[in-house]
Amino acid sequence: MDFIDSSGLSAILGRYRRVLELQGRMAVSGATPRVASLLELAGVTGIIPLHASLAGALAAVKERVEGGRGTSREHTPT
Amino acid sequence: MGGEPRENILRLEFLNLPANIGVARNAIGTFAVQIPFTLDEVDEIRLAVSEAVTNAVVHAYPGDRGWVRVTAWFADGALELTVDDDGCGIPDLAAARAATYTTDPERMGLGFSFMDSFMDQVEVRPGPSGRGTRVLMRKRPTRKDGETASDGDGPA
Repeated sequence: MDFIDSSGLSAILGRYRRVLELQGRMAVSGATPRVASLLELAGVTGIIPLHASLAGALAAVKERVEGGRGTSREHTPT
Repeated sequence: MGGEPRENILRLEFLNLPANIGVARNAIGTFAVQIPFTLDEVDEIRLAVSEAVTNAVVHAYPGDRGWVRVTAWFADGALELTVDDDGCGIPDLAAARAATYTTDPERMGLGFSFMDSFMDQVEVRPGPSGRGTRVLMRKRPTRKDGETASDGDGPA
C-alpha cells in the first residue's frame, strides 16, 4: 500500500467496526512510511497496530484473538 | 535537460466519477515533480488533491453527473491548485472546515484537515460563477537549490 487518503482511512475504519462486531482483531501490514505516518496522524495506529510483514500481522492478530477470548471468558457472568 | 519551467499551467476537466480521483491525483503529482518539490512534498500535494477532488466527486452533485475542474498553476516559485465544481455548494463553509465534520457517517470528515496539514494555504469559497465550490490551495517548495524530486531522493 503506497497511497492512502481519508477515503482509504474510512474504508479501514469501516472494516475495523465490522471486525469488532464479529469480536475479531485487526492489524495492518505493508504500509509505506508515508502511509504509516498518515495512519499515525489520524490516530488509527492507536487502535489498529502496524506490522512490517503480513506474517507478523497475522501472528499478532491470532495471538490477540486467543488472548482476548481468554479474557472475555474470565469476565463472562455465570 | 532544459531545467524546470519557470511558469506552467495544467487544466483538467472530468466527470464526477470515483475513477477520476486517482487520475487527477497522479496528473497533478506528475506536474508537481517538475517543480523543485521533494518526493514527500509531491506526496502531500497528491493527498491534498485527492481530498479536494473526492469532496467534489462525492458531495457536489448528489445522485447526478457533473464536471470537476482542476487547475495547477506554477508561477513565482509557488504552486497554486484550484478544484472547482458547479454543484450544490457547501451550505456552511465554516462548519465544513472543522475537523471531523461530515454529512456521511461512513466517512471521517478529515478531508479539509488533511488539506490544511499538507498545503501552506487552503481557501474554500463559492464557485466563481456563484454556483458550486472552489477550493484553492497553495504550496511553496522548501528546496531552493533547484534539486528536484526527479533527481533522486536527497544528496548522496
